[in-house]
This record gives sequence, C-alpha cells and structure tokens, in this order.
Amino acid sequence: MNRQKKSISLEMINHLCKLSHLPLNKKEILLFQPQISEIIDFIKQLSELNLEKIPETYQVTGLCNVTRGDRLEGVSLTQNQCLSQAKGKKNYLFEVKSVFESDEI
Amino acid sequence: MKFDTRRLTIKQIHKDLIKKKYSVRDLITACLNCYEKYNKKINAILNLNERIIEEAEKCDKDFFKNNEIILEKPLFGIPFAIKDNYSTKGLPTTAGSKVLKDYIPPYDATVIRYLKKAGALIIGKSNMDAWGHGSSGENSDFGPTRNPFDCSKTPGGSSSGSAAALASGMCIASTGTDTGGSIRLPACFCNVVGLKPTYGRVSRFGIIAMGSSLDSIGHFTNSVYDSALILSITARIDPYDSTTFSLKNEIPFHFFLEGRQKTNSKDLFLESVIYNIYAKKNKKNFTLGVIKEFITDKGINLSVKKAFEKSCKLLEDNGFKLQEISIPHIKYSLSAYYIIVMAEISSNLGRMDGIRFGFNRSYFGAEAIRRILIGTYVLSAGYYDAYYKKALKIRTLIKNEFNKALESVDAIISPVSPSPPFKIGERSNDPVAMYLSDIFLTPVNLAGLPSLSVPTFPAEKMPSSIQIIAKQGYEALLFIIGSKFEAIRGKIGIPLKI
Repeated sequence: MNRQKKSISLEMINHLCKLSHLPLNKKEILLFQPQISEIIDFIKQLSELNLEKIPETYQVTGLCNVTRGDRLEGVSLTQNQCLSQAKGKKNYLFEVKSVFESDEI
Repeated sequence: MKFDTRRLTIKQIHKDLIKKKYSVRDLITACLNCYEKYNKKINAILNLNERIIEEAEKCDKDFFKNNEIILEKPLFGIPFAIKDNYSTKGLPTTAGSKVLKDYIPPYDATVIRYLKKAGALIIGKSNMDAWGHGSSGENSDFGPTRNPFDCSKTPGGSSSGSAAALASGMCIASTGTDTGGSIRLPACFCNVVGLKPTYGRVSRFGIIAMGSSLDSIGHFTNSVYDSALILSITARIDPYDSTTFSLKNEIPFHFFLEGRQKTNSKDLFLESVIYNIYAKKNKKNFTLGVIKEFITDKGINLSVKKAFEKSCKLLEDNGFKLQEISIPHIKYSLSAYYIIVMAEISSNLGRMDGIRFGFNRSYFGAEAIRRILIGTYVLSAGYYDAYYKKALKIRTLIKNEFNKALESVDAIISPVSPSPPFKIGERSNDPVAMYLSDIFLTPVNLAGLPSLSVPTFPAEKMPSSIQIIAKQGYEALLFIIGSKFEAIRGKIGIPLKI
C-alpha cells in the first residue's frame, strides 16, 4: 500500500480546528485527514489557470448600497423570545463561558 | 373519502373545493394517511404540525362563511411540507442537524409569513442533509430519507424530505433551498417539478444560511403551473433581506400560463419585460441552447443521456429550435463552487456556538466538520489568494459566459443529474464522488440564474428530468417553456415502491 502524500498535514488540521472552534481529538483528526486531503486535491484544479486580469465576483445581483432610514420599523423580538432557546440564562442575560480564563476551545 | 393526493395540483384542488367534492379536512386527512403509511420507511418528515387538523377545520369554516376566500388567498387550504432549514415559529427547526435538535424558532421566515398569508397550511418539517450539506439526504443527523420509487436509493438532496414527501402524497407542495442543486436534484430523483429562482428573487430571511451568495429559495410542485403560482406569492422585495430584487412592473408568473394577458393597467402589462418575450415568441419558436461541454461529458450515464436526447427531439418536433452553445470554463465550476460555498459555510456556521440557541459545536456531523475545516483553510492567511480569490474570478468567467450564451438563445436546457438515483451508501464514503452529482447544477448557482427542473422520460425505470435555465429574473420564460414541455411530454407513470 503506497504512502499517499497528504495534501494537508495534521498540524494544519489542528490549526484549522483552533481557528474554527471545532473540538476534534487526535483520533478524529486522523480520520478526517485523508478525506480533506482528497477534497483539497480536487479543488486545487484551479491552480492551473492564470486569472490575473479577471475581476472577482462577490455577488451576482449587482445591487449596491441598499439602505433605509434609521427609524424603528415593525415588531422585533421580546427579551423573553430572544432568551427562550438559550441553555444558560440569568437575569435576562445569556450565560456564556468565562472569556478571560485559559484559551481552550 | 379516498383520493390520490399524489396526482393533485393546487389548481385542481381549488376547483374541487368550490365544487364541494371534498373539504380541506378531507384533503389533509388524505395527506396524513400517506404520512402514516410511508413515513416510517422513507423518513421524509421529521416533525408533524400537531395542529394541522384544527387548522384545516378552521379553513373549512372560513370557506363556508365566505366562498370568495379562494380568490383572496391563492394557496388556501394547501398543505406544504417545509424544509427544516426554514424558521417556523413554534415548530421545531433542526436544519437536519443535532446541533439544533431542540431549537424552536420564535419567529417565522419571511417566506413562511407569505405562504401563511396566502392561506397555505404547514403539514410538517421535512428531512434534509444537515445544513444543506449533501446531494443525497444521507448527511441528515436524523437518518436518511429514502426514494419513494425505490427505497434502496436516495431521493437526492439536500431538500430530500421535501421532494420525497411530495412524491409520496404527504403534501401538495413543499419548500426547499438550492445552493448547488439542492432543489433540482431531489426534484429530478423524485419525479416532481423543482424551481430554483434567480438568486435574490425570494427572501432568505429566517432561512438558516448555507452559502449566502448562492442560497436560492424555491419549491417543489406536481405541475409547472403550481410552481408559477407559488413563486407569485414568494417573490418580492423584502426589507429584511437586502439582496432581494424584482423586475419593474411584473405581473404574477402564472398569469402567462393562463393566457391572462389583460390586467387592469394596460401600461403595467406593456412595460413588463416578460410580456415582450411572450408576445414575440408565442407565435414564433423559442431557441434552446444545449451546452456542448455537457454533451461530451463522458461521465453521463447512457440511459440519462438517451432520456435527455429523447426530450430534445420532442422539443424539436414541437417547434423549438435547438442550438449548441459553449461555456468554456464550465469544467472549473464545481471546484470554484465548493471553494466559495465552503468558505461561506465556515463563516455562517460560526454562529452555532450553543449559547443563544442549540447545542455546542461538538454536535456537528462529519460533513459539516469537513466543510468548516476546508472553508477555514481556503480563507486563511497564505491560502486566500490561491483558492478563494481565484474561485471568485472563475465565478466572473462563468457568469459572463452564461450571459453571453443567453444572448443568442432564449433559454438553455440540460440534464439535471449525470446518473439515475444512486443507491444509499454508494457514495457516502466518497465526498468527491458525492460532489460530482452536482456537476450540471452548480454553474447555475455561480451565475445566479433561475432554473426549472421538469420530469422527463425515465432512465433505467427511475425518474429523470431536464433543467431549463434562463436569464436573471426570467422565471416567467422558464414556466412558459416548462409548461409547453409538460403538455407535449404527457404523463409519466412510475409506480411508488415503498
């Protein structure tokens, strides 16, 4: 069985997990590595093209600067509605994990 | 009261209600019977609307008080299955993912408000590939949906449940989203009409975002007319979605199919862009483009190719002109699509942190994790230019090439899927093979164009469809061509096998 050169290293996947807050363990990263490498190989196809002079398309509607006046319009959600789906809440606030402790995911 | 909900259309139901052939309650009961009979096997609906009978009875009361209600509410009494990425107030909305297993939105998506205002009923929330990530329904965290024509096969995805529910008679119409083919592919695999409107035609507000520059909000129906009718309800500029647009002075899409050319305002009609096409082309023939790069694709299944060629011949025999066109960069569209969509997915799914709603990020399934990681990769420092920026340039080329082609033809036709519905499990371990299912579909999303998937002759005894693509905003033309094709094609009878 040939050792395939993986397009994406375990270190890189680890790095991406940190960037995207995905809590994967070592075993899971090993499982994902070959599939992700295969997908990267597939999308690498674009590297064969020279597209220097072509502008990017960010959106296809051509709409620009869609604005409205700074007025209260329509009904928004009540505080209770906003909080209704939260697992942790206190004093009409969302409860979150402490931000200033260690930087684990 | 026994009747076959699979063959019913909105148009027919309203005629029947007026004639008092049956009540809305009877109709809903018939749909629920299909649900009881089939859902355990095909897993199309995740959550029923527990109040549907009550709502149906209210419809009957309202109709008894006021016969005209059907004119005031164009979707009166019509049961819809709603893809589970649409926020429905008070009804669970999971987007097919365990992350949102217990999420009940406190508000309705804009489209849901419009449908309800037009009198539609929600029968339930339909199963889907989690977050819209998939082409087969197998990526649902709640078990795959099965194809009602062959339970060992996939119904297509990601709007798998919506297409399967409609095909098996659990509803009369259903909603979906199409980011890279997620309406057209299940419509094809389940033998129903699927519309992917122009990007920006229909509001995305309240619909859980996958790729915000690509998501198109559409629906499934049993006929092209019904599709046009529903679009007339859902397509409007929404202040809650600043990417929505409409053409100047449009008239309801289904009006073109009834030959209702007269409206109250003569000027309104005459100014309509679409009127100019209809008036000119109704007597003359439409020219349909066939993409040369698709036809030479060696990856198309032979039966699918034959079904498509038979469809082309049928169109030619009935006054349509076919012309070869070229989209030179089309072979790069799948890669460009996946780079862009994964980048946008990684950004959109950043909000799933388990704080304000749902569970935390350890509940994501495998495909979501793959896409978030790759999306993060292509946007990260050092790789942004090589992947994401380049993909955006390909997008420019593809958009321009389509627009150029659509100057020489009225619309473009193509197969929807390179293969007939494939077996469950066949591609689930091979992400790239799964991505190739979308090869005829993703270029349309990159270009932001509208496309209608219409059933045609079967391939290997399973459903097969043709795709009709038009210029941005020209859905009326899709409906005109699609309904002509429906008429000349005749009925397609493929038996359910559940």
